Amino acid sequence: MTDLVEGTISHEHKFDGCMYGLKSQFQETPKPIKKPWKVVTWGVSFPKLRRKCDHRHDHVECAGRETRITQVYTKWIAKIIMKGVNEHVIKNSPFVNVKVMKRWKTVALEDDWKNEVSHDSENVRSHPIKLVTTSACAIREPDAIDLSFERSLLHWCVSRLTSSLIHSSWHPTFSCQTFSEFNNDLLLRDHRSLQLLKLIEVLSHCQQSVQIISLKDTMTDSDDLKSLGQFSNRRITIAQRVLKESSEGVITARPPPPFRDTRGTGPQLLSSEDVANQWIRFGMPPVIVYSAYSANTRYTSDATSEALELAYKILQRSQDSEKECSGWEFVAKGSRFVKVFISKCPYEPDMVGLLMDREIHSRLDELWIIFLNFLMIRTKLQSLKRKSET
Amino acid sequence: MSKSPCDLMTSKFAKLSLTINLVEVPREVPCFVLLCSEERNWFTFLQNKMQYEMKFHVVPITEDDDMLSPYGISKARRCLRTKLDSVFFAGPCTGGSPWNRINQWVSEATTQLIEAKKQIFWAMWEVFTSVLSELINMGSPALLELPGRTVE
Repeated sequence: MTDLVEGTISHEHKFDGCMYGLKSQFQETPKPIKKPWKVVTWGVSFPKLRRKCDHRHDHVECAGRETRITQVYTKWIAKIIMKGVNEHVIKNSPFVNVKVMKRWKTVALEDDWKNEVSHDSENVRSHPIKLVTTSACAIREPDAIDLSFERSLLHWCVSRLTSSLIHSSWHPTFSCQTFSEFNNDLLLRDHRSLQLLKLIEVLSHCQQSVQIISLKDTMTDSDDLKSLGQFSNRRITIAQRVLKESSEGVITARPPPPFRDTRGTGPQLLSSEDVANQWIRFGMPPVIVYSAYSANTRYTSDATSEALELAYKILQRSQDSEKECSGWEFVAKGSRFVKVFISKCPYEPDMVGLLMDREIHSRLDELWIIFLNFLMIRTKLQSLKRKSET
Repeated sequence: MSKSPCDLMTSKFAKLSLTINLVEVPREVPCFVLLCSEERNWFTFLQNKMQYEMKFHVVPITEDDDMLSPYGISKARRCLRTKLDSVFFAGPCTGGSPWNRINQWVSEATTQLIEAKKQIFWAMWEVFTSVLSELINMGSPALLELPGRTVE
């Protein structure tokens, strides 16, 4: 047995059952059972399956009739293994990508864009776009997904541009310059393409000013640029191109409900504007901010909640100068948040699958309606105030 | 007059035509073979629950299938076709668990039972190693639960 394990390239996972919900069944109050498990794997590994007992709880002896329950894995362990195997299948299966490829149309692309797309796809290892871009360099026809993606960009722009509170700690002058150029009424006009072009222009300014300048100060190692991944301007550039080709449609949306801060004693509601400011101050791309809103307003999976919590905590820490948590560190760690959404993308055979899951995607319309209503009400209130003042 | 079981069965299903359809999992659907598992376990439960997310099919090889029988072995081998198919072997806890060393002194019957289970384990181990060597050569994933303190 030892020869079999040692003579091959394998991964060893040692973990304790008590850390994965293994509890006694024949006691009044179920207590954890520390059953040490050892699983060796070939060709696949499970990083989450390495938790040893943290000695924060009492154990029940794994003996007598309690041993019966310990012969099977817990649901938690089974879930980790199933997800690990599933990821392996998705990464390596050509059949998983078939659906996606059918939705794509092969066209001849310019060389610079081709490089751009393929470079960008390197950061998303598991997504079928890798296969498509490397083999055919495909582009999709504009469809409903494009519109949704475009809405998320628009939402991000507007949330930045309409907010008077936004300012960058690294580049304090940019916000005033860009926001003063924008007119809220643009969204309500009929010529949508014009709005988009203007918004894209502003967006590109914002990206340059926030993302690049702010990060330059804190970056020390140039190699870290590779791990920037989803935060690079390239994705935004692709989005711009997608937006340019999108067909006309009706923009209907409303703002997301307030961000729920679950830390501390009781749930505390933060306004979406405040949270957006905090996120965007670190140059987070729009899809992240948008996904954060959406994910936070519904029943989320454990992984999503954990990622949100982590991202938000790091954000809080980064504002604390004593702890010396740089903005760059935040962005790097925040990439975990993106991975939560990307991990679901193989099941979503659309572009939005790159960025958010099916539920978030289905709620985009709803969110956008809220947002527009909010904008209209605010402008009306402002005009009423002015009238009353005069 | 009493009827024999065969006669009873014949008369019971006399007016019925029974058809058994054996459906093989398509080749493009990878299989996750659980060697030596129960019919209903968390893996099959999760597969049914997350059937739209899971891109593979869970195949349990149970005690009824008997991994040591030609049927059990062929069932497992039929599912391991491509490098996407995977196998998980979690044998009975008799290969080296410290509890067995303690329990074997409880009674003669327990000693015999543990010895019998040991023999079953190593017989299953032989089957698993033959399957595993093929899988490793093919590049397929494989999982093995090691009995406690075997490799330390």
